[in-house]
Amino acid sequence: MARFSPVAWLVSCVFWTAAPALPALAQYASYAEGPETAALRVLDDYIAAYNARDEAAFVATLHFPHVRIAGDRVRTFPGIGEYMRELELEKGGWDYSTWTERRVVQSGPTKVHVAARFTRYRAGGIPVGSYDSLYVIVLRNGKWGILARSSYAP
Amino acid sequence: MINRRRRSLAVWLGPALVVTAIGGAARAEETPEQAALRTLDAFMAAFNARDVEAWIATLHFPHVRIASGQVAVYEDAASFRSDFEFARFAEQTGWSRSEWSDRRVIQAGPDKVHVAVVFTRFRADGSVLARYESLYVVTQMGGHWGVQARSSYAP
Repeated sequence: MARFSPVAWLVSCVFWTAAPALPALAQYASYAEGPETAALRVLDDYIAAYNARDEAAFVATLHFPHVRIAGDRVRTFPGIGEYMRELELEKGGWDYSTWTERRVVQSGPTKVHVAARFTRYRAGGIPVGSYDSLYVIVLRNGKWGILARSSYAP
Repeated sequence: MINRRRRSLAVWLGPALVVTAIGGAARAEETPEQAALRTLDAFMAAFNARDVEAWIATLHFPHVRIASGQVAVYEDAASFRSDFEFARFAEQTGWSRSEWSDRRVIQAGPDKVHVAVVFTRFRADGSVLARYESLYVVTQMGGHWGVQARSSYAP
């Protein structure tokens, strides 16, 4: 027969009391991080997932409906399904990308505008091209994600 | 007789051709940044004049507006026209007119300019109603510059 342990009983009480508040605490942590830090973290995750060719992780950094303005086109993706159907993480000769520059242009408690410049590389670290781009990153349901982007890349 | 007609034609058409050429050259020399700021001037003038058609003429479609965490995509002028009413907007907010308080070109290319702005809304008595930051994506399509998308901190 197991012996009654007051310490274990106390830990259990604390855990079950705090458990319902964990999602709120997570959200608080997201707020506490600061909008600008959170937005830059999203961009870190975004490019890491892109370079890893991890479609699920990549899409997880976006909010939907997602807007992409590039070339002379405006594309609106209502949901993940529509986005995934057209997602190509490997394009002719491209190996990986890096942020060359990131600048917070405007920020509020639930939205951050970031002007960025990214560079695409071929295998062997040979730069293919550098492009300016702009990201609208928003906090929705406790999660920061990219809602829209406007790029100078072809 | 024929020479006199030619001279008369030259007197009348000459200045017109010169003026057209100068105007065309001036527009041709306009940089993307200047074209984008001129578009924003026209955008604001049309908004303050409550002139929907002139306002629509400063936009490109599909036109994207991001505000309050929501994305509105207007596929064409008709959908935009049916969604906005100046009188209702003025009544709900107490707005009388707006002006650009700050405009900064953030990124620019031959056919697209990103402009960070601050705009101020005023009441009829000239007092400040509110001031908001916003971001404009201004693009050139078919020789015409227009606002393609905007992301505002206004509600």
